[in-house]
Amino acid sequence: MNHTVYRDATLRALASGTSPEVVLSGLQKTLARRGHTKLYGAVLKEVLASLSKKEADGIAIILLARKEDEGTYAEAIKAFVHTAHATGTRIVVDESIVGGFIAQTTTTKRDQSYKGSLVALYRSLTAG
Amino acid sequence: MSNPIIERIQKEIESLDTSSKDEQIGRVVTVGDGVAEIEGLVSAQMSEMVVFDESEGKTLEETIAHKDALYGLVLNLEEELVKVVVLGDTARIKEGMTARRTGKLLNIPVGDAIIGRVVNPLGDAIDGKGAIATDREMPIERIAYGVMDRDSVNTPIHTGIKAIDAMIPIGRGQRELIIGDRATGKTTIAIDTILNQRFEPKETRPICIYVAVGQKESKTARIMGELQEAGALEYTIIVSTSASDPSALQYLAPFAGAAIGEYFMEKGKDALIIYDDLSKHAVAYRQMSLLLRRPPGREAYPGDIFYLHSRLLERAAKLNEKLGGGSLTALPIIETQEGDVSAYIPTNVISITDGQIFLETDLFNKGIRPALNVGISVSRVGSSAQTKAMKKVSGKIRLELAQFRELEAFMQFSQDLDEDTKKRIESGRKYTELLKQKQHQTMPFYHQVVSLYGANGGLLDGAKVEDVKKIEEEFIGFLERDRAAIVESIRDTRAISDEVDGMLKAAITDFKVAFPAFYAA
Repeated sequence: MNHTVYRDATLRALASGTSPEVVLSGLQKTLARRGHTKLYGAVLKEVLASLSKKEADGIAIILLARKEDEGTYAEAIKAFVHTAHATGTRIVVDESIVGGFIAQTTTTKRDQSYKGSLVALYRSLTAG
Repeated sequence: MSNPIIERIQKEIESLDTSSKDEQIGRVVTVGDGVAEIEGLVSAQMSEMVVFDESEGKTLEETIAHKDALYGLVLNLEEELVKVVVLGDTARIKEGMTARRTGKLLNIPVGDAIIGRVVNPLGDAIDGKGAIATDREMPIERIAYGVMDRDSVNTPIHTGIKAIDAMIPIGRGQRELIIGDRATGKTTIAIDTILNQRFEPKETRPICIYVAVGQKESKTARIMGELQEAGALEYTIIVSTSASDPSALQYLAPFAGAAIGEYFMEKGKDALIIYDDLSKHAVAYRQMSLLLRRPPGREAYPGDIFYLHSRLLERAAKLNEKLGGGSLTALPIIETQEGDVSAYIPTNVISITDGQIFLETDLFNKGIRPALNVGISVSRVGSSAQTKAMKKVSGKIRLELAQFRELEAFMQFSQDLDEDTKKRIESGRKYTELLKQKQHQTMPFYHQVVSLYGANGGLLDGAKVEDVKKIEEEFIGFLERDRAAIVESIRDTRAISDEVDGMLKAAITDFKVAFPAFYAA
């Protein structure tokens, strides 16, 4: 039995709301009973990596052409954060988008930038 | 004064969809050998198209340096990753790049304007004649028509090659495999079939599709030149992938061709598709599957290699009248190694198709071209796919050649054979000589019928084997000049009436009188 099985079981237990102390204690007892005590460190590292990634996944990156645009698109950004179930936002200024904004998490993206529209226009003009 | 460029841009802006919508994305984790592994894309479908976002971190100018967007095809759905085959230059993809779902399965744009053009499997024109105005998109992968949607194959598709049309007839909606070693004339048979369709009336002429899978570009260019010179390109479409194209495009090429063929079939037309060749197709699919880490099976081919070809070839069909009565005839080509037809891929495709045309190197080297081994070639549709006229004249030739093959071994002892055996051998040699045909010199079916009728009716009796081709040529010319009614009747009715039968018998006698030099003992 490799450590990923214990990792997944630990994550499920934590997700169900059981307190971390109870989960970790249970994990140690199970590993000891099965003679897999040496896997404890690897399992904890994997669990930590998964939880950190999940937390990072929840952050929405908002690209703006100028810092001042944050107020202009505040409502649209708020709507995206709600739809994408983001846990927080991080603003990044990127002049290459020309105007508008791009909001994205690791799984969802909303592109309302001038660059996106101009590229789409260019591709549709040159396609036919 | 209005500027057409400004008007065009304004029209595009008005039709541009600028509404905000959330798109599902993923991130490229690794990329290499034409395959990108993407994390995310949680709801991606199998065979869905994804588009890579090359604009991240780049200016507008840098982004539009590549005119076309870069697409990928989802082919592996794994627990945490999705593996995507890149349909283009992999060098454009970087680790960390975003890829978004398009929500669409792979389609190819089709329309009547695609006839006469050379395209790649994505539908882009590659003949330098500009973009193609298409009106519809057809899915590249599609489930074949069911049993109840089909009709029996009952209309011939003439290849213009006597040996095939007489003894291995092909019907519209059939799959007939062309199999043989390299340089035995497989592609020539396929191209001759396309060329011969110029003798068909426009209303019944099939649209021809030539799919080049991993072929040398020089070969495809030569074929295109030959078709253009003969005027055949006006009813032909070429789907081309060269040996240097990514294996993903080589894998898609036959399916793209089938999608184009289905477009015409569903309009009630007949279509002919040539897959040249499926051996290279299998190799491309093997390469792709190994790169996708799918478990290798026999000869390192993936486990679904049979399904690859069976689902492709099942799309050839003859539809019933309710669905328009159109058809898609498939001529797949398989290249064997040293005549080994019992190898893995050849046996797979033989078991799928409705017959096979075997070409042999020995026959080719002996000068028997097309190098057909009539003994082991077969068409499972048979005489249902022959005109009445051809049915009447082709029965005897098969028997004669079968007897000749049995007696061939005795030819070296011809001094010691009885008269009857010598006659059979002589007859077999004449029929063999009659069936020889030069490359790209196809013969319309009515000329084939009169030629075979003459051979059966004593036209070659008393003549030398070396004169057989000349006699054939002169006899056809004689009929066209002096007995045109015979040829017209066969051409129009596709049968030999009793009256025409009598006229032909008389014509043979008259010919022998008119050309005594051929028969001087």
